[in-house]
Amino acid sequence: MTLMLLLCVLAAFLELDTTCAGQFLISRPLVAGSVLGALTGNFFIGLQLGVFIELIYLDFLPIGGVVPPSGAITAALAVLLFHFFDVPAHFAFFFAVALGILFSFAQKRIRRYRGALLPSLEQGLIKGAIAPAALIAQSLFLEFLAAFAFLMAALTIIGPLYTLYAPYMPNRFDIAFQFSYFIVPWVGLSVLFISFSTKPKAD
Amino acid sequence: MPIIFTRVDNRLIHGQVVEGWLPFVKPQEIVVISKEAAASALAKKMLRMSLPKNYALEVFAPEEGAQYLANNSAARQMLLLESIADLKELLEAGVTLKNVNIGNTNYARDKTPHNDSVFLTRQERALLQTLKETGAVVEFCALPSSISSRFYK
Amino acid sequence: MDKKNTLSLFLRSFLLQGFWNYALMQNVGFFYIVLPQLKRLYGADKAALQRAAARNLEAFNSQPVMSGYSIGALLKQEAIIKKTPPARLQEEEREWRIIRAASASTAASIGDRLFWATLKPLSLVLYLVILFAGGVDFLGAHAQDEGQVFFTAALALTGALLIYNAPAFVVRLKGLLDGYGGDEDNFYGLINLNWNKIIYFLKTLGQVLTIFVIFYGIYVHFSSVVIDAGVITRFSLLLAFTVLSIFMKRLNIPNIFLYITATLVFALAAILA
Repeated sequence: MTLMLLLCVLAAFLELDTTCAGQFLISRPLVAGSVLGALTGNFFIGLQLGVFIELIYLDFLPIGGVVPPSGAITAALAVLLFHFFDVPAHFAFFFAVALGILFSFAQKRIRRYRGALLPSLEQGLIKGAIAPAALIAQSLFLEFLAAFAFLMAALTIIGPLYTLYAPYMPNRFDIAFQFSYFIVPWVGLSVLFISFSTKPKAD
Repeated sequence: MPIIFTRVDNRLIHGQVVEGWLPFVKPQEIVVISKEAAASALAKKMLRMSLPKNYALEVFAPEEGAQYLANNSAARQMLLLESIADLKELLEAGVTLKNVNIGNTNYARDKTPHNDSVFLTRQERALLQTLKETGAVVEFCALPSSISSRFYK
Repeated sequence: MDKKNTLSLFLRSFLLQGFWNYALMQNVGFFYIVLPQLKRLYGADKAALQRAAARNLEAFNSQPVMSGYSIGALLKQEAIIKKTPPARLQEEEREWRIIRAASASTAASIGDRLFWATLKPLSLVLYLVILFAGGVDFLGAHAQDEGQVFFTAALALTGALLIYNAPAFVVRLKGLLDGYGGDEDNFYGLINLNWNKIIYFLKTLGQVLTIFVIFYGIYVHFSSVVIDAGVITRFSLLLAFTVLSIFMKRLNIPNIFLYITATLVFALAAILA
């Protein structure tokens, strides 16, 4: 439990890199998956889940106000479900991706909330009564807390639920999930190729 | 069919337009309608720079724009307007539009949000309502999606 | 602009999106970045500082890495505003707003294409190439030499992060300096690099590397397989999904929804079969 808590703290911290701070891409699934995989002793699975998540999220570009599902949260959920609750990779991937989409709605709400807060802060900022650094610090802390709480809640709900129902799951179910997991990288690679389309030609 | 797509976007040419709409709409020419941009040499130069070279670009104030559109309709045109105010003037100058996509508009104190990136005054809402009643499709979305593909093909 | 101030701007620019909001987007982050410079510029002139603060808190949205061009250009114009007599103040402020809008979205348009749509996927494909080159089969489920995997993956990860971050750091800093040192004639430094050419080159490189990964992957996975009915079914389903995915891309439906739908359909079929 302590280890899970610490790893969730780490993942929530990495998540800040997605939009709020830095953007060194340490939040990308490639990194988050590998790091958490290494720390839990599942390096290869962490790496593979990272690559697959990265490939499936490729066509979400963070342009304009679009909030793509968080790569760090998704990778962390997949690896931690695998490690702590023995959820096989092909199931862990599915749950993580679905939960990742769910979390992007939560993030949208946070952004809306900040926007609604702004008019009341504006005068303070202009007059120097409120430091922008303090606002940003608070906002980062809130994002961190939201990510951490979401990770912990998702793990403690989905993990035990899976353990409970796994024995009753028909074998064919397993094959179905395995097959769609097998498709992911291939479809992803074709999208990767398309993403390099050079149609708008250089001059 | 000259004007195939019209978008209101206060940021004019940026990622959503270049990565999202251009490959989707496939215009040959972008006609920017903006009072502000038309009056500034810098803004015009910057717009040209933001746009990949294979798209033609014209920048006009609404009234000049209406004239240009009336006389040039050979290319597949995409209209890009900076604000609803520009849209209003363009319509008043006699341009008819079949579809209008409202992507981004400025936030201001007298405006209320329509969605996350569109903020409208009461008058602007009324204008869009009138536009709808003339049979134009008015749609609000930042990026093209399966829904918009019904309208702009 | 001296080194100390440049460093402050550079470091603070990593928090541009720290208070991202739908109404005014990166405005608070922008304000945070330039505030020390505004204070330095206006000193004890409180009224002028507040007027500048209000202006700098207006809506701002650019691509984070490329935002330096706007920040530099706007600080330069700010210095002009400071010297402007009150009668012409509004005119220079208007110019400032034009620079703000034009440079932010121009930089964003280039940055979205270069960093999000090109360098990020390029770093991924580079990572995959290094994995394959090091003999790590990331597609497979079978156990591999853990030490070998770890070493290769660490190398690949370093390569991927470097190929993205090294240019990102350079452009971030160059943007601040060129933006501040530039003027209207050189678009505040934005034309110092031939972006379209760079993007075209990197995208072509990406295509070549992706083709390598795809064919090498097919070779590794399907060359040793004994062809039977099961393999043919799997392979044709795979092809069908790839075609479907390309079709969905035309409708702008992200792949993730294809994956979720496919999984649910398979699961349903598994129950019914």
